[in-house]
Amino acid sequence: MSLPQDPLDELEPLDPSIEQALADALRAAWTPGVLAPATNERLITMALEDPFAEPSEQEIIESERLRRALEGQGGHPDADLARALAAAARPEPAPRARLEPLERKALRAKRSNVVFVVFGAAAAAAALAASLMLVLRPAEQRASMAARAAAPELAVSRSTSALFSERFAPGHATERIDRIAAARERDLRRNLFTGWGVGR
Amino acid sequence: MKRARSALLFAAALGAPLATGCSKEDQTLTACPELDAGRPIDPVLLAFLGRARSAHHAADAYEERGDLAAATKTLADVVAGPVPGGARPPPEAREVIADTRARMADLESKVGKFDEALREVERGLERVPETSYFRGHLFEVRGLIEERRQKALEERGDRAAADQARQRALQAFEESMRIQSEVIRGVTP
Repeated sequence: MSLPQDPLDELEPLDPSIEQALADALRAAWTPGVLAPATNERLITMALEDPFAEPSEQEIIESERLRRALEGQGGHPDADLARALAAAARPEPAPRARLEPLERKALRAKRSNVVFVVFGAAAAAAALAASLMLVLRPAEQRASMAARAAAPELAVSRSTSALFSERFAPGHATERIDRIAAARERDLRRNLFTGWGVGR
Repeated sequence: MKRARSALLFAAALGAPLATGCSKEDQTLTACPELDAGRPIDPVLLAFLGRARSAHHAADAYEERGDLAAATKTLADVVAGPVPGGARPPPEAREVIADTRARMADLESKVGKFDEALREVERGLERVPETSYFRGHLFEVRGLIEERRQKALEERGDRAAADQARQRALQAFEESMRIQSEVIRGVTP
């Protein structure tokens, strides 16, 4: 994903349908909805592929490449995605000098709330948010974002007793383990999102 | 790549508990509050829970076709297999193991292996020393085991031993009820 040298000169108000799609994508990144159970199971299965196995030589090489890319040395597709997701969750405030021309353009177009973006043609919905982004929102909402960003919390290991409000009936052990596993799958997913900088 | 990414994400979190006050030399398999607190949920715990869940579903299938030995063996593989945290499993793993042992005990007692069943209950109780539904359930299973033993003894005509088994069953059920009452009181506002 490469940005033009000066994207502001090339920006035009988006087509309403594209703008709506973009707004939906940003909203989904900012306030994700509930995954379908089947999709959720598939993601967990993919994430948990043989966690006890030693990393392969290729995986070690790729992880080193990713580490360097995240430190600004070289590139890596996953690094772009990670930055994109982080930008979607915690967008950097745009400099005032760049905001003003955008605001003037927006006012000329008689739009009260406009989202400008430059993005690569092949970018996926989540990666859309990696692009230059301006979102006009109330100041108090930004303060709330900053507070959340400052204190990401991980779900920690703990007793599962809170998952049960009734006496254990004999013959229902499978239901209990189902409930425990489902609860901790949700916790792990939240931890992973938090680790990627997109936790809520 | 996924494993490497997960490892990076959780490396610091997994290392943190080593700095707590729980002795690494103490190999008891019970709770360690200092380790239990603040250890993030990680893929290894989920792998263990997934394995246990699969085993319980498989045991259901074996039970449905009447193969209690195969059901018990499947569950035994879970408690004998790798457990996250090694000698210091996280609370979820301890509780799942305790519940799995309770089910194994129930199955073994159904085929007359009363002593083996009671050993499973004891091992389960070691995992959950705190007052909880898990502990209460283990005492309930202990009561069921003694009840089945009592019936088996009565069928053999050993009335004195049957009476002793009945007494042990009553004690176990009473202890189960006491624990469950405590749990209910603990969660009731």
